[in-house]
Order: sequence, then structure tokens, then C-alpha cells
Amino acid sequence: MLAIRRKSLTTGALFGGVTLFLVAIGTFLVFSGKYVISGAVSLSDALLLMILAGAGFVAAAAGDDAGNAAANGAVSGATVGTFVAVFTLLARSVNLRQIFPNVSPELINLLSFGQEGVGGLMLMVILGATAGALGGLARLVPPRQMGIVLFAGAIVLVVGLLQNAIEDLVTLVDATILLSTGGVGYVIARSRGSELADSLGYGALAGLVVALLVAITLPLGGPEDNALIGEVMIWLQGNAIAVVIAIAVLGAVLGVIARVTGQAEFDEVLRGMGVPIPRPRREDDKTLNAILAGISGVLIGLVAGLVLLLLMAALIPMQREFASMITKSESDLLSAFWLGKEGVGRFVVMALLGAIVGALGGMLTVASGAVHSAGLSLVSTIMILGVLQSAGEVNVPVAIAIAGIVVFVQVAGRSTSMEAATRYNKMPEGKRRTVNLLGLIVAAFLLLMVPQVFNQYITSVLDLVGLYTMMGLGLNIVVGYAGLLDLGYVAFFAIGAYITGILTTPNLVTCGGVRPEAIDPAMIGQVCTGVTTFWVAWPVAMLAAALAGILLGIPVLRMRGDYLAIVTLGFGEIIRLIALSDTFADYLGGAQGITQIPSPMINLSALAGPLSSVPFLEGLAERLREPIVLTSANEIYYLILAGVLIAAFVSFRLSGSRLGRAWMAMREDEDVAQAMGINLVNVKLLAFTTGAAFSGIGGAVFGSWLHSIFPNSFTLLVSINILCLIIIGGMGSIPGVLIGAFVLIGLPEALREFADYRLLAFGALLVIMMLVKPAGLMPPPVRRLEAEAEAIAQEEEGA
Amino acid sequence: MGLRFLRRLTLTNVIIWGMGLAMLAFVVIRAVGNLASGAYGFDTFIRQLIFGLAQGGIYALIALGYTLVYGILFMINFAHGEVFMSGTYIGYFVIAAMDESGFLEEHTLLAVTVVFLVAMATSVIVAVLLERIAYRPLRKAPRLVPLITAIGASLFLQQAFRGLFGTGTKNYPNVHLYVLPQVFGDLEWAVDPETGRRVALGLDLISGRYPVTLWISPWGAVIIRAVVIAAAVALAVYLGLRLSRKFKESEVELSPLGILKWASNNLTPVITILIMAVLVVGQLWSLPGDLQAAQMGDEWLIHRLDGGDFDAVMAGISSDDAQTLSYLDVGPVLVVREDDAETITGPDDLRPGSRVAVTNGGLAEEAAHRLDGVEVVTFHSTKDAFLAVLYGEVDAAVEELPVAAREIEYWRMELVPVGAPIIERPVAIALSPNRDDLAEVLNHALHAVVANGEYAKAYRRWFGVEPAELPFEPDASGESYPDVDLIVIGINANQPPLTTLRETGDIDGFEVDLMEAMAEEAGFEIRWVDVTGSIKLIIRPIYFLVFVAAVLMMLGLFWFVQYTKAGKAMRAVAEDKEVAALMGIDVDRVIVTTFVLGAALAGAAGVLFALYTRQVTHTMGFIPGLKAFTAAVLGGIGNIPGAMFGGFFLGLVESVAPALLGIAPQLKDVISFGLLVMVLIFRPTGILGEVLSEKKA
Repeated sequence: MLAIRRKSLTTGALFGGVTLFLVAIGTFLVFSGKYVISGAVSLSDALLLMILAGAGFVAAAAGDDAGNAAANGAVSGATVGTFVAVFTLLARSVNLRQIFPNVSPELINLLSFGQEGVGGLMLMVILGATAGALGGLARLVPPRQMGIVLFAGAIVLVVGLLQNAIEDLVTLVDATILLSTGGVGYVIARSRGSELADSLGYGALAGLVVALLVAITLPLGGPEDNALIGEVMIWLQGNAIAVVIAIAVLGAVLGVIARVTGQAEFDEVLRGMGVPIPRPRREDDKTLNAILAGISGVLIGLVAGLVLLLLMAALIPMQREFASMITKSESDLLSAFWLGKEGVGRFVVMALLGAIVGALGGMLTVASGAVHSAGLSLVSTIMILGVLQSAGEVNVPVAIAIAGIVVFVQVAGRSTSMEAATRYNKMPEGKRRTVNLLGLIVAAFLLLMVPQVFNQYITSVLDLVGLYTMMGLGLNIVVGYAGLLDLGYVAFFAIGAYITGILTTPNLVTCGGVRPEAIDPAMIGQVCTGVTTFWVAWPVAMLAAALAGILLGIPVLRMRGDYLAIVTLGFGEIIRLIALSDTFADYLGGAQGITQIPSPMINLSALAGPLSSVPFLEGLAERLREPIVLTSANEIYYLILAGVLIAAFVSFRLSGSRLGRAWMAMREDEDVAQAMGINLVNVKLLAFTTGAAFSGIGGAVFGSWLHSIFPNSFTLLVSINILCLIIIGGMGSIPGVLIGAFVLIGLPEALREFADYRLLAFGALLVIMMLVKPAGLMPPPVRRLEAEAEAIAQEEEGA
Repeated sequence: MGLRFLRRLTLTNVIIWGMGLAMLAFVVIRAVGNLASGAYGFDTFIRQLIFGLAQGGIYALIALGYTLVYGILFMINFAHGEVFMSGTYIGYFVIAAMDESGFLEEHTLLAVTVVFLVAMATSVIVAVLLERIAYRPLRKAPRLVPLITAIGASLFLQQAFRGLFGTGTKNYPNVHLYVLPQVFGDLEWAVDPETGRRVALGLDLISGRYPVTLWISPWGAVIIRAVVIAAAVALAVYLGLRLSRKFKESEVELSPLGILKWASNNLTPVITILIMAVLVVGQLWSLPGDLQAAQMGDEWLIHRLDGGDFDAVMAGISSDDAQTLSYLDVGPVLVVREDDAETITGPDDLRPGSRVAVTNGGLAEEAAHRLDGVEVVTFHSTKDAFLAVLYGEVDAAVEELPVAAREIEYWRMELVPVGAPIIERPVAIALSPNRDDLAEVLNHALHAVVANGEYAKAYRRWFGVEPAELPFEPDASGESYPDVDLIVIGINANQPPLTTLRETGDIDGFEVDLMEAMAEEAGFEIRWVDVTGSIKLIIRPIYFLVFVAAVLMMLGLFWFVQYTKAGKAMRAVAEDKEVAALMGIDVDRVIVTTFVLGAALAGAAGVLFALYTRQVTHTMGFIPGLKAFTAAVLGGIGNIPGAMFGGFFLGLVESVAPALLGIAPQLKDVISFGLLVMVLIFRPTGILGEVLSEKKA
């Protein structure tokens, strides 16, 4: 019995309204130029489908059967479609452009699917109904599975949007080598027990073997021979059926052998590799068991073969260019590294590499949940990037492959992660620490490698993310830990930047009475310098910002929270206006700002002399003779990385300290905290000052990175950006800040063509986050527990 | 004992006090200094006062929205600035459409009313949606959560308008709403195409092409000044009395520390008294400076002549198409030592190669360059040029006749103007458009006085030499004069030696002598109307409109909250939501009403704002919103009269303070925010005090 609810209509109307808003601000037209899946799905298609399906999903109720869910969803989706169609009709007959400049003929054309008559409009309604019905049906999928699907979709979307920026990061060859060595290491280690030494040893051994195999398979001669793998792939595809059969047979044979020989360990190995060898029904009946094993082997083989076929079908464009791709990848660091060696050298390098990667893979089997999932994320990232690189764009097969990878890792990851965590928890304390230390070393290595692997653009985006992370960590102390809403955080950033600018740029005094503007910019470096260098300036900037924090803090910290927000906001504006004003232009540059801020410089030439006499280090000594100037994004990266790490370390240590606990107590209830003997003013001041100091360092780095600062770089929006990122990440959570910075700074930076909608999205995001998930994407543990407890309480209440 | 007070004095207090005193000292020193130096004139003050009140009215209207919501929900509706913006923005489309269709010109009042209603309705819709979607679900959340939501909503609304309607600035059309032509008849004119005569349109209330120029007579200035001083003194005395009573009651130790402690407890009144004292001292101090600064140009004389206040104006006005004869040429003449006056009787007597002194710029320098074969030496002031003549550094000087006469008289130099003007600059009597008939009388009289020697007598008296030739032949052939009883003549007694004030207060001068001689000859009476010392104020009428409209709306709101049932419900909900709900009040509905009221006021404020700034952008709500919040806090948040007071106060401070303190206008926002910080430090509950229920504070 179909029951169409009125709610479906209202939901549709609501979604329709939102859609019309998006239409009127021109989103669809701008988005239509950006392909998520090349040649197939543009961002506007994706957005429209998401809205339509979303309308269907919301309209369908939890208890619906399939028919009802689909029908309500369809009604809701069709309502949205009708809204759009009616609007299109209206826009065709009346010129809305006078008021809504974005409603252009192109947009109308887009909305009517390029058709003149009512056909396009009908199509929109039908599309709405269909997508809505699908969305309604999605209601029937259990939440966890739905979550995985949505996550996979989100990843495809993100990869699709960023495809131009990330398509050349990891070659498929590299990915294959890394994953096969690490993966086999993992699988073998997993089957070989739960000791750390075992895991590492077996992992290393397996990785070494695989790496050597790869080294052997890879062509020994020049690039023209590199097509071997490609040949193999093409052959595999050509003989797919034979391959499937062969695999099936192999599976059967292996199963039978295993059962007959009674090699329990071999069984375990196969199980570890994911082959579900059935447990023997009865120990004594070896024949029956062997037959059963053989049958299951055939089945497994068939399935595996089919999966392989599907994968290959998905990767057809990839293998077409496989041969040329290997040549192309020569310039790529990793491949060049192991393909570039000749003779025995290659085997040594490959063996070493394989052993290390394999050992790391093995290590994951006994790693804690966080490390394990980090490892899995890394694995899936490398896999996705490899696939993307081979195809050169996100087309339909690649999108399917990406989704497949995500789903696979999500599904497989959960159980293996729990298994690893169990082992990890069984280990003694010392070994656990070793595992974590290894994880940290790998993370540090990866972080240090970033500028080498990524191109300048991505590194500069990462620099920006890092800078905001650093400041976010500072504000996190003020807002997240201490619960003081500071909307003028940019003021300290500006103070840091301006102090650095003033101290490091040439001025009238250091130039011997000559105005710096009068000197040829190219020559100025030789004529005069600033008062001091960056290395002296940044601590001064930090102290100045901290001092400003104290000066502002003392009077305002006695106020209630919301007053504080506005007063700090006013303070931020005051600083900007003062920097902008003509009154202080002689010192601060007015609207022209301060330019010609020199890059930080590391001068180690003193070491060059002693080092040059040491054997093997002559090259290094030669490099150190000239001062190292941190100019480009790649070099500044290390400065920012150090800043972020220190800031994160300080935040982390503070969070558990007496002071940190005092902050949190104060955040929860000022009166109670005071009754507990916490001196509110002092504690608040400390929070304010620490945050300000972080921001001051950020400003110092910012100024010397960009070489120039302008008052308009320090608007309220910077404060709001930083606030947003800690709110999105989860107030009080250190990883949350990083996530927030990536989502709010990295993503928009990579999507510059949609910069117009950035602030709109920020605003909407803030409201939605506060309404839906006030604790943020990655809340600190206490908040997460609170949220869970609340959810349980609500459920019980509901029941 | 005092020591105990010292011991309880924390570093924080010391710093706060230090900052406060430093700022107070800065304000007092700068203000007094600027007033004393005459850099801040009274006319500037009045102009800024009026602008400040208008701006303050806008702030107050927006601030009411903040205060109403805060009073009930205890949240800062950060997006209120965008509510203000949204109404104005949509209002723009309506008024632009009406302008295009011509409706605006035909039914201006109706059209403007419609725009107001549309803007208010839009703001209300936006605010109600905001409340429903963003705020209602968070009513029980911790305080930071709704505030962050509000910031997000503010950003979203701003960007949504940008996305929907584009980034450009929209310009409100010119709205000409003429009122009261009979009262302000001289303010705006149009030429009637049929008769060719000028028709008074009246005061263009909204976007006058010309600003209204108000002239405050010297007495008017004295009265206004007296009112300001009296108000300041009254407030100071009132506070002083209250303080002294407190002083007696509180058993203050009569040691410096004890008094300091007492003063710290009564900071607001003490500071207010100080400010009032500065105001009074400043007003008295700036008096002489003002009188000097208020030297009048002739434009107002002409203005009032146009308006029919005078029949004629005699103020050294030169005109090419005067109806009356020129009675004097004020062009530049040669000035020589008295000893040389015999040998040099005009420009032609200068030997080639003579040196001639002149002040740079102006007609005199032009004249000097016309002289053949002389070397021109320029000086910065007439006095220096004349001294050079006196000391023999140069042979002669060139200066406009009245200026030359005035300087010679003032410095008692032994110099005389000689010869005819080098460049002619004849001046004549200006007549009212309605009194064409006077031309004949005056011309006759002038002929007569020239003929009978009265003219030469007056000339000798005031310029010390025989008169130069006039451009007409004196003809006293005495036709009878037409019958004229009284001529009202406007003069500016600040133009010695043409017209001047004697120390006794009587007017005197060449023009006065001349006119009296003419009156005697022609037999009419004269009434002199002197405008010296009047203050000229250029004010856009819209400022008055804004001010009046704001006050009316505020009174309406006040009435609503105090005397209607809904208002009572609002107050009850502000006091205690739970109890109010128990009493049968629909809390949700009351909250919506609150948002509606605040938004309607903001929408109206938006249109008023746009009518005088004329510009609408998606970011226009931010700064006024922030200022209005500041105003609400200044007055004491949650307090309706407080928000009104805070708005006007902030508007005034913003308008007056930069010029008064000699701070660049760029930094006026710094002053407002600085004021906010100061108020929050020293009186966190605002000037009029917060109105909050106990639980919340």
C-alpha cells in the first residue's frame, strides 16, 4: 500500500528552494565547467543529483518498505525538479538578469538540458523523480553500509575535483611496488603470530622477496624494454578466461594440497592472504576435507579471476598507455631511483627498500588502531594516486576503481584494524612504544619528503595549511581549551607580521640616512639590511604579540564571553585600521604596507671549513659555503613544518597539564572553577597570551614568506577563517585543527575557480555544523564521549 | 587604612587605571588644546552635532534590534547587521523600478513609503527565517554555540546577497521630496518654462541638490552655546550633588589614598563631570576664536537678498550687470610713501626699473605685472609688502583699495594709495529681485552725492586721498525722487574700511557714510541689517529627517514595549522564560515578535541610511552592525532607552571626536571601538545599566 506523505512535498519544496537559491547565485553554471569524472559527470551534475537524491532520502522515512520509500522519494525529487523547471520557464519568459545577474541564457540553457521546448523541463522533473526514488531507496540501506558508500562517493568527488593538481604525484609502478612489498609483508606477518619482532622480521623478508621479484621482472635494459609488465597485462587481458580458469585450478590444487598434507600453517598463510580455506569438518576424513577444499578453491579462484577481469576492464585506458607510462615516470623521483640503478645496485636497492616497506607493512599488524588506520589511509591514497596517474584523469573506470578501493579498504580495514589493535594491546608497554615510535619515524619521513614529491603549487598550498594550522592551534588554546571566544585573533597575527617586517626590512637608519625607496631594489641587499634577521625577529614578534595579548587581555578578560568576542573583534579592526591609517604610515607603510621583507637565511658557512676536510662530506661542505635562503614554498615548508610541530607539541603537553586542566575547568563552568581555587584572571591571561604568541609566530613566518604585508591581509575574515577551522575540526582537538585547516584552507585553495562561493560555504558550514554537529568533525575524546552519551540518552528517551 | 587599599591593589588594577588615565589625559589635552587654538570652530561643532545625531539615530535603530534580542535570548545576534542590509538591498530594487517607471517622481511620498514597507518586510522575513532555522534549535545550547551560528549566518547572508545580486555597488536614485515651500521658500528653485521666472520648490527633504544652508545669527550662536553650557553645567551639578551626598555617607578617609579609592568606586560620575567641565571650559575658551573664524562671505547676503529679507545689499559686491551704478572701484591701486605722493600720482609716474611690492596671488599681483618696465617683488602678506615700501626697499606697492586702506589704518603706516585702479573692479549696490524700483532712486541719489561733494568727503575720510574718477558723469539735474520710505540694507560689518563696527558697536565705514548721505539727499530711511558673526551651517535636510524618523520609531517601540500586552509579554519572557510560559505566554511567539520588531526597525534604518549614503552593497551591514552593537553595549545591553542613548551617543562621539581631538577621520572607528573597550572596562553594565534578570548576569 503506497502512502505518500505530505512531508515529502514539503521536503521537496524545501530542497527546491535551496536549489533555486543555488541556481540564482550561479553555482550550476560555474560548476558545469568543472568535471568530477572527465567527460561524464560535471560538478553541477553531481550537485544536482546529490540534491535530488538527498531530497528523496530525507523524504523517505526510516520504517518505509521499498515501495513507499521509492514513491515518497520520487515525489520529493519530482517536486524539486518541478521547482527548477518552473523557474527555468519563468527565466525564459522574463528577463531576470536585471536583478539576478547570474541568471544568464547559458544557465537557462543548462537547466533545460540544451532543449528549446518543454522537453528539457519535463526531463528535469523526470530526473528529479528518478533520482529521488533512488535516494528514497537508499534509506533502506543500513547506516554503516550507507556511510561507506557516501564516504567512497566523497573521495571520488574530492579526487575528481583535485585531479589536475594531484594526477602526477605517484606513478602506478611506484604504487604497485610499494603496495605489493608492503602488502605481502603485511599479509605474511599477519599469519605469523603476534610478536613485534616476528611481524617486522616476516614482513621484511616477504617484502624483500617481492621486491627482488619485481627487480627481476622489471626490464634490465633501456626504456624500450620497460614494456614487459605492459606486455604481461595485455596478455592477461587477452587470455582472461584461461587466467580465470588457471586461478581457479590453482586455488583448488592449493586447497587440496593444504588439506592433504595437513599443513596447518600453510592453511593459515592462505587464510592470511584472504583465501577462506574452510575449517575441516572432521579431522579424520581427509578425503572429504580435500574435496571440500578443492571446491572452495575453485569457487574462490573463479571469483578472484572475475574480480581481476573487472579490474582490468576498469583499467583498460590505463594499460593502453602502460608502456609509455613507465618511460614517462622516469623523471619521477621514486621510479628513477630504483629503475635508474644498473646491475647489482638495483637489486641491492630494491631489496633494501622491499625489506623496509615490508617490515613497515608487517608492523601494521601489531599497530594501534590510529596507526593502523593511518597506514590504511596511506595505502589507499597511494593506490588511488597510482591509478589516477596511469589514466591521467578521473574517467568512469577510474572513478569505479577509486570507489572500489575505498570500499575495499573500509570493509577490510575494520576487522583487520581490530585484530591489529588486539595484538597491540597484548604487547608489553615497551614494545608498544617501539611501534608508535616507528610510526612516528615514518610519519616524520613522509612529512620531510613532501616538498620533494609534490610540486611547488601543492607545497605552497600545504604551507598555507600549515600556517593556518599553527594559528589554529593557538586559537584552539584560547577558544577550544579555555572557552574564550576571540574574534580578533588576526590582530596578533598582524602584530607578529608587522614587527617582523619593521625589524627585518631596510630602513632609514640602517641605510645610513638614505630612504630605502631611493635605492635600487636589486641593489638594496648589498647596500643595507634591516635591523636584524628573521631569526631574531620572530621571537621578538612572538613576545610583542604575547604582550599585546596581555595588554588587551587584562581589561577585557573580566567580561562575559560574548562581550569578549565583540571587544576582541573591535581590537582586531583597530589594529588593522591603525596599520592602514596615514597617521602611522611612516612606520607601518599605510595602505602600501611593508615590502621587501627578506627571506629567512641560514648561514652555516662557518661549518664549511671543518667539514670540507672530512671525507665524503665535501659535497655538503660545498653547499654550506653559501647561505641557505628559505625563499620558495619548498623551503619555507620546513620552517612552517617545524612551527606546526612545535605548536602541536606545546598544545598537546599543555592540554594535560595543570594549566590545561584549569582551562578546561574554566571552560565548563567559571564559577565552579573559581571555587576550586583557580585564579580566573591569571589563567585566562595565560590562555590569551599563549594563543597570541602562536599567532605572532605565524605572522612572522607569513611576512617573511610573502616578502610583503598589507593591512588588508589582516581583515576580520582571517579571524573567522581560523575560528571556522577549529570549529569544523572540533574545538579543543589538535588533529581536528589539522583536519579543519585541510578542509577550509587547503580545499578552497585547490578549488580557486570557485573562490566566489568560498565565504558563502563557510557561513553555511558554520551554521550547519553548529546545528548538526557542534562538537566538530574530530572532537576531543571527552566531547566525543559526551556526544555519544547524549545520543544514547536520546535514543532511550525515544524508546 | 590606606595601606590595606594598597595591598588589595593588584597589578591588573594598576594597568587598567594607567590605561584609563592615559586615555583620559589624551582626550582632555587634545580637546582643550584644539578648542583653545580655534582649530575646532563652533560651526563645525553644530554641523557635526547634527550629522552625529542622524548617524546616531541609525545606530540606535539597529542597536534596538540587538538589545531586544539580547534582552530575551541573551545572545548577540551577530547577523543583525545583515538583516539591516537585506531590507535596504531589496528596497533598492523596488525604488529603482519605481524610479524607472516614473512613479517615484509622480508620487514621491507614496513611493518612499512603499520602499520603507518593503525594506521592513524583507528584514522581518530574513530575521524570522534566521530565528527559525538557525537560532531556535540552539536555544538551550552553550552560549558560544549560538554566537558562532550567528557569525556563520552573518557571513552566509552577506555572501548570499553577493551571489544573488552581484558584487557591484547599487546606487539609490535621487529622491526629491519637496516640502514646506512657504517656509523654506529660498532653498531650491526651478525655472518655470512658461513665465521664465524662478519658482520656489521648497526644501528637498531627501536628496537636495544643494545642501541647506542655515545661518545662525550671532545671538543664535550665543543661545545655542548657552544651552550647551547650561546642559553641561546642570548635569555636572546634578552628578556633583549626588556624589557629594555619597561622599558624606560613605565615610571616606580624608587621605589621598582614601579619596582615590572613593573616586575609583564612583568612576562614571567623576569622569562625566570631568568631561562636562572640559566641554564648558572649551565652549568658553573657544568663544573669541569662533568670532574670528566666523567671518562672513557675501554669499549669504545675496542668499537672503534673494529670499526677500533685504531690499538691497551693500557689501563691496562687484557685478558686471548691476542695475545700480558703481559707487566705488575696489581694484588694485598703487601705494606709495606719503613723501612720494607728490611725485608719484599714478602708475605712469613710476620710473622704468622701479621695484613694486605685491602680495603673491590674487588680483593685485596680476595688476602689478601689467605695469610696464617695473620689477615685481612678491611678499607673503600685505603688511610685509607695505613695510618694504616704508623702508624704501621698493618704490611702491600694489594692493586692492579697501585692503590697502585697512592695512594702512591698522598699522598706522605713512603710506597713501594713489591714482586710479590698475584693474577695474567696480562695486555696486545689489538689489532684491522684487525691488527693481529702487535702482532709479539709488542711482539718482548717487549722482547727487557725487555732485554735492558728500562722496568725496566720505572717500577722504576712509581712504585718506581724493576720490578716483567714477565711471559716470555726476549729474545732479534733480528730477524728483520716486516715493520710497525705507530701504532695508544688508551689510557685512566685517569689511573695513567699507563697513566696519566701531568699538561702541555702531556700524561705520565708507559705505555707511555714503548711504547715509544718499538717504539724506533722497529722503528715505535706512535700516541696516548686519550679518557679521553669523554662523554658516551647511546641512543636508535628510539628516533632520533621519533624526526625527529615528526618534519617532523609537518612541513607537517604547510605547509598544511599555504599554501593549505583547510588550508586557516580551518583558515577562525577558525576565524569566519558564515562569512566563507557566503564565500562559507563548514564548516562541514572543521571541518571534522580538525579532520582528528589531528587524522592522533595522529595515527602516536601512532605507534611511541608504537615502543619505545612496549606496547599497552586500557588505554595508557589517560596520553599522558592529557600531550598533557597540551602541547597545554602551547604553547597557538589554535596556531599550539605553540602546537609544547609546546610539546617539556613539553617533555624536564618532562625528565630533575626530575633529575635536585632531585625529585623522580614518581612525574614527578606532575611537568607537576604543570607547567600547573603555566603557566595558570601567562600567561593564553600560552607561544606563544593563537590564537583565538576576540569573543571567
